[in-house]
Amino acid sequence: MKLKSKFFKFFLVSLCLSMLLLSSCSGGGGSDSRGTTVELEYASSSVGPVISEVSIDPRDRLEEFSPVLVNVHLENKGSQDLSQGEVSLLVGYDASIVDFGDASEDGISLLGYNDRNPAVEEEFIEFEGYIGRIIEETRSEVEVPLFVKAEFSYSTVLEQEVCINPDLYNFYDGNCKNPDGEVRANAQYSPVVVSGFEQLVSERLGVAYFTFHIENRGKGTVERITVTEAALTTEDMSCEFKGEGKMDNYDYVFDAGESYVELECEHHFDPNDAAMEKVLYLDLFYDYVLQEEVTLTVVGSNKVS
Amino acid sequence: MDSVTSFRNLDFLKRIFGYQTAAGTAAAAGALAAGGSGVGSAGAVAGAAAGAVGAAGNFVLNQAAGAVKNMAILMMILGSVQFFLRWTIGDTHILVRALSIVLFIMAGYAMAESVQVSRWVVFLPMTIFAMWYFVFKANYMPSFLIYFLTSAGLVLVVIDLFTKGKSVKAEVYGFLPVVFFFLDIGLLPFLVNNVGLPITDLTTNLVLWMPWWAFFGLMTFPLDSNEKSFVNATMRFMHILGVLYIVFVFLIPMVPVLGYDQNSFIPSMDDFSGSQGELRERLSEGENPAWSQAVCLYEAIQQLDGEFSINECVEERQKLSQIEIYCEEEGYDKGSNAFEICVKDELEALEEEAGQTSGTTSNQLDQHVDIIISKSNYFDDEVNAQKGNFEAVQFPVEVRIENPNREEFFIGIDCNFHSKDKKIESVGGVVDHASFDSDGLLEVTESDEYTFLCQPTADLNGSYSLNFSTVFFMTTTSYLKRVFVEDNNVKNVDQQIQINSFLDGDTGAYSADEFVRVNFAVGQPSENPVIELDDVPLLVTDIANVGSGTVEYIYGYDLTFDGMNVEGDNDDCVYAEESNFFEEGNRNGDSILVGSCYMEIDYSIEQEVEEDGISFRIFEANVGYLYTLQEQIAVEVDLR
Repeated sequence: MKLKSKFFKFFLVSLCLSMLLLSSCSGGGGSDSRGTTVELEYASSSVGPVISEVSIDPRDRLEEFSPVLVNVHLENKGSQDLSQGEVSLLVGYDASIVDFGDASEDGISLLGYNDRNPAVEEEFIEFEGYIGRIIEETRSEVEVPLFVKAEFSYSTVLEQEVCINPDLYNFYDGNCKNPDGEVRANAQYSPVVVSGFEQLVSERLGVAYFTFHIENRGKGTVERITVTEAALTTEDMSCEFKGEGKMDNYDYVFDAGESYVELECEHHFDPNDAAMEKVLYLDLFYDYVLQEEVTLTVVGSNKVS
Repeated sequence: MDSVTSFRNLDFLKRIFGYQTAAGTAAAAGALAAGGSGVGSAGAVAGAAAGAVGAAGNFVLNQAAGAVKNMAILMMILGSVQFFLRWTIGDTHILVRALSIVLFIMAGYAMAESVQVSRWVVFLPMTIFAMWYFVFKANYMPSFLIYFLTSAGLVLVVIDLFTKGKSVKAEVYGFLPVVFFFLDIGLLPFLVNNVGLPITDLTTNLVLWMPWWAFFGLMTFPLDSNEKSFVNATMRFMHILGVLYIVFVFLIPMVPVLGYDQNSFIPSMDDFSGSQGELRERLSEGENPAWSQAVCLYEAIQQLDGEFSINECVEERQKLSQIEIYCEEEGYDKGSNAFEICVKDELEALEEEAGQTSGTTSNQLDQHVDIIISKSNYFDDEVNAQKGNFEAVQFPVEVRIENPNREEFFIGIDCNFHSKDKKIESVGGVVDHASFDSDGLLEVTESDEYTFLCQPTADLNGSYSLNFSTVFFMTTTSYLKRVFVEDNNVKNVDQQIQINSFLDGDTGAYSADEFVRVNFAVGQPSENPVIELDDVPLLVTDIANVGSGTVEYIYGYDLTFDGMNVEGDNDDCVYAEESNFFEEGNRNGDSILVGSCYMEIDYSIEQEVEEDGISFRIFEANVGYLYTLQEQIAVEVDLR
């Protein structure tokens, strides 16, 4: 009985240990793979399209029943082209206080500031309005928030040399001349950037995995982002977004307040290949919204000081 | 041999005594021992031998039962300590966590001893869980789970085969400590916070307020293990209550689908304990809902008239207990008259709050009417008067009227002399002024300052209170800001900025610092300043005396909603003419709920929201009223 009990205990412990071993090998990313993490540089948050100025004419303190003009200055300080741009003005108060009519201008396109276009393109927009009466009769003056919104499509392009070395025992990266790589012709002059990526090469599966960290570093909000192209030199990679928003194939819609998403791509290769130097190419297209607020002070008739 | 091990060797005892169950074995062994000692001479030797064996078996079983009892008691103590520590040092403290793990292991022991199954087999599911949770960080990725669950299942099946199916029961029992471990570290609160499980507050309370490990100890406490029948009966009763508690806790609405994007479905202990603490903080103090539920259930059984609502009863008890705690904190001794009054007042205040809405006075609405009554610089508090010459006694009172918007209204002025001494009669007064019209009213069209002379209508002699009053008709407008958005769109960061800029803190009705205000609120609920297009907003309207005088009469009120309409025919909530709402002698703070109704959003707002994503509105409410402002001034007249 004693012997049997001891054997039973030994058997159970052995089973547990074997289960631990089995489960440890199930991860798919075990000892047969090697990974690197690349942190990329990106420009400051003010790089990209900006609403550089919003002003109120003739001044920001006006009397009831008088005309008003709001000037907006939009500049594309990024390296990519701005397309499908629309600038609109929203009165952040009861609509009867100021009437701007149809306060939006669309069809705005601004070329990016890059090798092809060595100048920052800009657009000036004016909104004409008329101030009505202050709704609250007992109020001597009221501060009316005006929101200028610029919505547009923009893109981010990343080109990066990478070395894919399937042979884990070759630490010298075989044929790769520049194994660490550098960001080529920095394409990160954009509000949404690839702030870094992780590369994981699995020799056993013959797959190179890339996880791109895509972040909104600009001052606005990003809504929909689309992978236009993801390739390793000439070969396309299959990719999938990982985030809390809605995703549909190569489209991803950010959740409210979300400013970060991961894109997982993979490239299959022949495990018998020697180390290879490739160009990692990622082209992202996205919808972006910038908002600026100015305050118009409306003063009751005969009370302008 | 220690007592725990001896108790587990039941197979050995069964073979000797031939009994089937542990309880039966214990009882029968005892009976056999007693019987054995009483056998007659014919079987004396055999009887003695049997009795000796029986007595030995009884001793062994008593020791074993004692071990189970000790373990259960230890669990109850440690479980209570751990529960207490959760409240005092926090859910995430290392000591609390360590105790959770220790109690988890002890629960395995207690379980094995209580149901008399192999301790090793009970520990197996617990070990599998612990490996998954601690070693594999609760990885729920399907690719991993396939390996893990297959391996775990294989282990369990092999053991079942090895023991010819006898270990199945023990394996199942092994999952009970796992369930308690989850409950202890706050599985349900986490699911409420993160997954949004549709469980009721009551169930949440029941989970949070239970010291689960102490409860586990109670449930593993052996029945009929005490010589005193009272203790045994109590334990049986506690077991029944415990089973009911568990059944109640787990009768929560089913979770439809859990969809997660994160790698690990089950969060770490930090997440669990953190959310448990958060939830506990959110719950207000008061009577344990389980107790409330029990008491209300008892009352319902007693009444049995079908009209008794357990939910309402529980709510009432919870409310009352919270008020009692509040009154105790305010320094009233429980049971004292002052305490009872405090509870009654708070209950009344709660009821009043429940039915009415509120408003504020806005300093930004500075262009309003104000009437200030004060003594003139020439006012003499002590006057000498000659008998019969009362017309010569005059008290100059100043009335300053602020009217920056140059509204037109009429003021009636009146005065009298009231004596506090019952022996002295009160005397009437007369006010005259060149600006009075033929009806004796003063027409106001701008800001101005007037001095009125108040003359008594008879001789004054002694101390009086000069009551100087102004009566006027006025209209006051109050405003309400509301924002309209698409469904669930307010999480948009830019839109949130727009909403905050617009509201600027004004979420309720606001008016200038005048005398009467229409307090109104519309939304879903009415206090919510952000209305979604698919909401059915409720409008609640009341009229409040917010000045320092008395409302004499309400001539009417009128609420204007540009872009919203009242649903149904009853429009008391937006309009009424000439109603005497207020009782005589009303004062500041008194208010009357005049109506509530549902509103519908019309096309104009929908169109704005469609175009701009948002629509801002300021709604107006006017109330016309007759109001009296009175100033009391002490005067002394010496009649000669």
